[in-house]
Amino acid sequence: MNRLRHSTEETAYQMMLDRKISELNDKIELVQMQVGQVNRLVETVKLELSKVASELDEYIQFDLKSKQLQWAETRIVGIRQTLETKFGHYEDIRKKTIGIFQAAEAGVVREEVMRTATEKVMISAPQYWLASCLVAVSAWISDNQDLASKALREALRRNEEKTSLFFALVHRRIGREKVSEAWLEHYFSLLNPRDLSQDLVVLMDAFSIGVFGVGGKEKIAKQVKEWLDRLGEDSEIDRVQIEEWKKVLERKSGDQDSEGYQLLPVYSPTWGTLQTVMNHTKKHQVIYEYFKQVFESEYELSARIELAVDKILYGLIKRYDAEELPLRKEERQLSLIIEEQGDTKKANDRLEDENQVFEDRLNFKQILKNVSLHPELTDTSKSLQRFAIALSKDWIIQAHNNFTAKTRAQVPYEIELELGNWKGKTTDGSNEDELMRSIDAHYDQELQRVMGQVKLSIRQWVVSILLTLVTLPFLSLWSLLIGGIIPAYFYITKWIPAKEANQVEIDEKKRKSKEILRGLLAEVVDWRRKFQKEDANAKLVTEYLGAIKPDEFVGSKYDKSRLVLNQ
Amino acid sequence: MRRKVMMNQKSQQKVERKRGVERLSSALNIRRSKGLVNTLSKLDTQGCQLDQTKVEEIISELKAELSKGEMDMLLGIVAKCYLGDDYEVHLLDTQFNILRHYKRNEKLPLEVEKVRSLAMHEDYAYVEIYSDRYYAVKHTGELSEIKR
Repeated sequence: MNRLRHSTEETAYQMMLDRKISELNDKIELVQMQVGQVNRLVETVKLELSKVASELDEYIQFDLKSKQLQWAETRIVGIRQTLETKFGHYEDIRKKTIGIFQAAEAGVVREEVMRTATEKVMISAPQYWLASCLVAVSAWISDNQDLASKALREALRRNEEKTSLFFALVHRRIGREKVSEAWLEHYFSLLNPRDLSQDLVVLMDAFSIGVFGVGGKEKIAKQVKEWLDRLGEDSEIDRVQIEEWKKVLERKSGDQDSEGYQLLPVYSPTWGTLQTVMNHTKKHQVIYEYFKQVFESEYELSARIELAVDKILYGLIKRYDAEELPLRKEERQLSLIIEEQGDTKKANDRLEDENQVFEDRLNFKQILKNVSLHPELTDTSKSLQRFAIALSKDWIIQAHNNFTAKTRAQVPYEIELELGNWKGKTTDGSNEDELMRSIDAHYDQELQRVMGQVKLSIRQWVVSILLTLVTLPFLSLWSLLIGGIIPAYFYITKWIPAKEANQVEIDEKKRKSKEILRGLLAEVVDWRRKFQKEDANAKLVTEYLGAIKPDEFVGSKYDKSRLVLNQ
Repeated sequence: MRRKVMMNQKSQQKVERKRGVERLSSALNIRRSKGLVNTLSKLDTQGCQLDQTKVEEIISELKAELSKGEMDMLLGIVAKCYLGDDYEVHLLDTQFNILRHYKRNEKLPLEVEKVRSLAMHEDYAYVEIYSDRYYAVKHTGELSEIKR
């Protein structure tokens, strides 16, 4: 009797436990469902926030650029007014200088008029070297030796380099070769190749278009060689020069889109690197075409030497003097900001390229670089640009080699692929079989994982066991059949359909993944092939520049003698 | 006298080291000799197991051509491997005088892995690895510099 009561109490207790467990199970499922909903909501909110942040950022950038543009447009007016106030009269003196030569040649202006005009200039520009030169020239034309000597001494005192170069050109203009060469020698004696004024480009321009006679050309050629040899002893100058040319090559052609790939951008974490490498590699063709255009485009030279020298002389006298340079640099910066519609980063990148144009003193190699890249800013001829590039070709080739090697080193050895939770790698797309097997294994595991969640609940297990236990005394081993009804029912009505449904879903995912994988591998093969093709263009640049000889770009229009430069 | 000689030797070593570092500063006009390029391109000719004596001969050849300053900063040489059987590159460790061959997908030390693609490029005979830079050496002996 006691045993029966005990057994009944146990059964009741077990049933109560079973009920509690079942209630707990239901609550857990409910919480899980709610957590799932919250997760989905959070994801949606994150996406929306991300969109808003992106739009806000765009707006801020737009607003900033507009403000920068407005500021630049206002400020540039002020800068130009200051330049006009402080240095505007220099322009008048420059025009008078050229006017004097042409007037003297034509004999159309009286000497007193010339003298008065030039003496006024001395008063209006007390420190300006050109004013003294103008008085000297005017006095010389009037045959006033005393005044000419005084004015010349004053001009040399104010700026010996510019004055010497000025008279070297003036004497060349009027055909006095020996005197011109003497002035050239004096000019060179003042120079240090590590610390040159940018006025040197005027001389180099005259040299490259062939303004000087044989004697003058030889002097300049000898000096150029000596400077290059001296600077060549300093490997630090070479190192800096190469690095600067490399930056120019990297920036010169700008970024280009890598189009035509649909899958790699979506499914490869390596895509960013692939895109960067391809953009850089495509620059070889652009760089090659740039140099080709420089060397093969047509340009005209003045028919008469006097006009050619006038142009060069004007180039010398209108170059910015040291005191103007800071304002001119700021003016250039502001005009770049205006050109780039307020984008200060792009403007500053361009200004960095041109920066040395606004330096007062540079070494000879830096001057060559300025002229090679910015003839419009240095106000020099195409002829000098070609000559400067030809003289600089060793550094450009080395810079290009360094740029090429750096790009090739960035080519990813392995390209990573990600399809959902599956990850794989390929070097050249040839391991398709291996990757397909990996996908198979991945989805087999996925199926196992999913099916692992399709199972009897604890309640069902408890009921099955209880049934077995309860019927065991009466049915012995047949009770196992009774207890097995629920699991069997579950297996037939839930597990098998779930397995089939999941199998179908997994098979579909597997099929799609394999399809995408095939597409990805095809794109990898294509990318590798395209890279090789673009990479081969590197040779175009080095071969083209390697074949250039500097002495082919020293003009001989005004003097038929041919110069051979020994480098 | 002996002290003077020693001091001169030390000064000379200092100058050489400085020159070596300076030479390392610019790749312009520096060229590896044909002999050295050939030697370093053909590390596979004796098969997978290169005799230690041979490795040391190669290191000596490097020492003869590079300055002391350069040798102090040189960590190793990596080049394409032609042994076949999935071997892709080999690395000559100049600090420990060891030559090792690496198969496809086998990772090199991190700083060397960065120039694996470069070492395998057909334009280059091998890549020199220094503490602060790499030099990719063409078959002509010309150097291209990549900063680390």
